[in-house]
Amino acid sequence: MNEITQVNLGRQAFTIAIDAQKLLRDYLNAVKKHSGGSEEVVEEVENRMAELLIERGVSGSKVVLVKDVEYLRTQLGEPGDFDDDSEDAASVEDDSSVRKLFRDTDNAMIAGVAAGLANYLSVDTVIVRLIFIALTFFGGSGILLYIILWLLVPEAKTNSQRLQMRGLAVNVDNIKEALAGADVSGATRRVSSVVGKVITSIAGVTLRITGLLFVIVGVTMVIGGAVLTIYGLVRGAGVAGIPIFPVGKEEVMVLVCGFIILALISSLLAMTGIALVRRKLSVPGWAIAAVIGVFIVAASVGVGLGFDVAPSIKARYDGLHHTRAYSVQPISRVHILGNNASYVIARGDTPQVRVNTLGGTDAQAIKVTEQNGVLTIDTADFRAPTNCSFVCPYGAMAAEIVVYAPNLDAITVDAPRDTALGLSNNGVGYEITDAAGGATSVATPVPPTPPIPASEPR
Amino acid sequence: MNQNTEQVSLMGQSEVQMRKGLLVYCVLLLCKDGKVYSSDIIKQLRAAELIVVEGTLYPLLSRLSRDKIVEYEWQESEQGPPRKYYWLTTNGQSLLATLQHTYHRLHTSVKQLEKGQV
Repeated sequence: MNEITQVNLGRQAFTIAIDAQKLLRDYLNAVKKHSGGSEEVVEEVENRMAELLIERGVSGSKVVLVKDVEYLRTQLGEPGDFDDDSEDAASVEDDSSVRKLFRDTDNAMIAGVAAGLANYLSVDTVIVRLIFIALTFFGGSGILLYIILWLLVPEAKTNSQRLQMRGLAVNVDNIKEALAGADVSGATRRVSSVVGKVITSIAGVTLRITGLLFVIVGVTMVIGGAVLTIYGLVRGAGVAGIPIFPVGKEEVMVLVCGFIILALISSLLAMTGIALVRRKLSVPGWAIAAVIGVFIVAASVGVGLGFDVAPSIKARYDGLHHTRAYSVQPISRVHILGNNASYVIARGDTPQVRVNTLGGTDAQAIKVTEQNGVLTIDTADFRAPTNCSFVCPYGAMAAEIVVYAPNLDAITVDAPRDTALGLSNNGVGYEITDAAGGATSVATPVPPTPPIPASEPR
Repeated sequence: MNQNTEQVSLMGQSEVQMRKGLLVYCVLLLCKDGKVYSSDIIKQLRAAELIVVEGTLYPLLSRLSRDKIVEYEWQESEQGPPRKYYWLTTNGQSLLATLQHTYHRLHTSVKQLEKGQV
C-alpha cells in the first residue's frame, strides 16, 4: 500500500513513505524560506531530524511514516518559528491583532468577566472587579451587568482566542509564547503567597455562601409567587366580599405576567446561585435567550396592561371607604362596647368621632352617644363580613372608629374579647379597663396627673 | 496601519521581545564553558521552559555565528548524524559579560520597582 523511497538526512539514509517524504520536503522548504534561505539552518535542522528519528527508533529497516514527520514538526516547530527576529514587527500587521472581548477563565474569580474586560480595556483586573462591586450598590446593577456579560461574552477557549483577548496577532510565534506563558503563570500561581491563598479561599467560600443564598431566595420566591398567584386567581384580593383585584381578563393577565416576571427573575437568581456554587455556568445559551425573550414579552405586556388597569383598581379600592363623622361635646372618657371594629384614639383639638366603614356595610348599627362627658361607642349590633384577602384595612375589621379628643381621663373597654385598639395619644396617658375581664391594663404611663378609672373592677 | 493598531501590536510584542532578548543571554550562558552540542543546548533550554519548539533556536544560533559571537565545528558521530559543537568567541565572552551585567542590573531594578508597588 505504502510506496517507499530513500532520503538522506544528516548523512544518514532513511527509508521513508512517499507521502511522508512529500510532507518532509514541503516542511524543509518552508523552513528554508522562513529562515531567510539559510543553508546552514536547514542543514542543522536535517541533522536534528536524523537524531530525533534515531532516538525515536525509526532507523535502519524501519520506515519513516507521516506520523513521524508530524512528530518532527511538533518538536521543531512550525516554519513560522524559524523567522528571523528582526522581521517580527511586520508579522503583527494582521487584522487578527485587533483586540476582542472574551471571558478570561484562566484568571477568573467567578466566570472571568472582570478579567476579560480588564484584558480588553488594558487595566488591572482589580479595578474592574471594584467597579462591579461598586455598581452592585446601585440597585444591584453590578450583578445584573455581570450576569448579562457572562451570558453574552464567550469564553476564551483556544489559544488563538486567548491571544485575541490580549490583542496579540494569531501567529505561531505568539501561540507558542502564550503556551509558554501559561506554564509560567501556572508556576507563579503555585508559589503564590499564603496570604493570597487565604484571600482566595475566603473569597471562594463567600461566593459559595452567596450562591447558596441566591438559590434559597430564588426558589422561595418562585414557590411563594406561585402560591400567591394561584390564591389570587382563585379568590382574588378583596375585602368584605368586594373584589379588588383581579377583576376582568386584563387584570388576570397582569397578575399572570407579574408571576412570570417574578418567576423568571427568581430562577435567574437561583441559576446565578448554582453557577456561583459550582463556579460554572451550567445553562445552555439558547435557554437563557429564551428566558430573556419570555421576560421581555411578559414585562411589556404586564407593564402595558398594568398602567391600563391601575386607575380602575385604585378607584375600586378608594370606593371601599365610607366615612361618617360625628361632632361631639367635650369628653373626658371613652367607653367602648362590643369589639366589632378597630379603634384609634387620637389627640385632636376638637372632639370628633369618625366611623370609617368598607363599602356596602351598614354603619347605622354603630351607635355613638355622648353623655356627661363620657363617649360611648357601641358596636355590639354591628355585624359585617370581615373576611379579607390581601386587602385588609382596619386591622382586618369591617370598620374603623377614630376618636379625636384633646385629652382623656380614661378609656374603658367592655367587650367579650380583645379589642383592636390603636392609640395615638401624643403623650397623653390613657388607661384601659377591661370591664368584662375585670382586669385593668395601663396603656401608657400617666405622669404627671394620674387618671381616674371610669369603672372599678368587679 | 493607524496609531491605535500600532499600540496594540507593541503591547503584544513586548512580552515576545522580552523572551527573545533573554534567550540570547541564556544561549551564551550555556556556551560559556567550552564546546556544547547544539542538541544539548536545546534540551537544557527546554528543561528550563525557555523554549517550546526548537525552531526558534536555529536561526538564533546561525545569526550568532554569523556575528562571530559563537564558533562551531562539526564532529562525526558513530551512530548518528554529524554533530555541531558551539563555543563562545572572545566577542561572545565580552557580550556575555555585558549581558550578564545588564541582566542583573535590570533584575535589581525590576525587583525594586515591584517592591515599591506592593
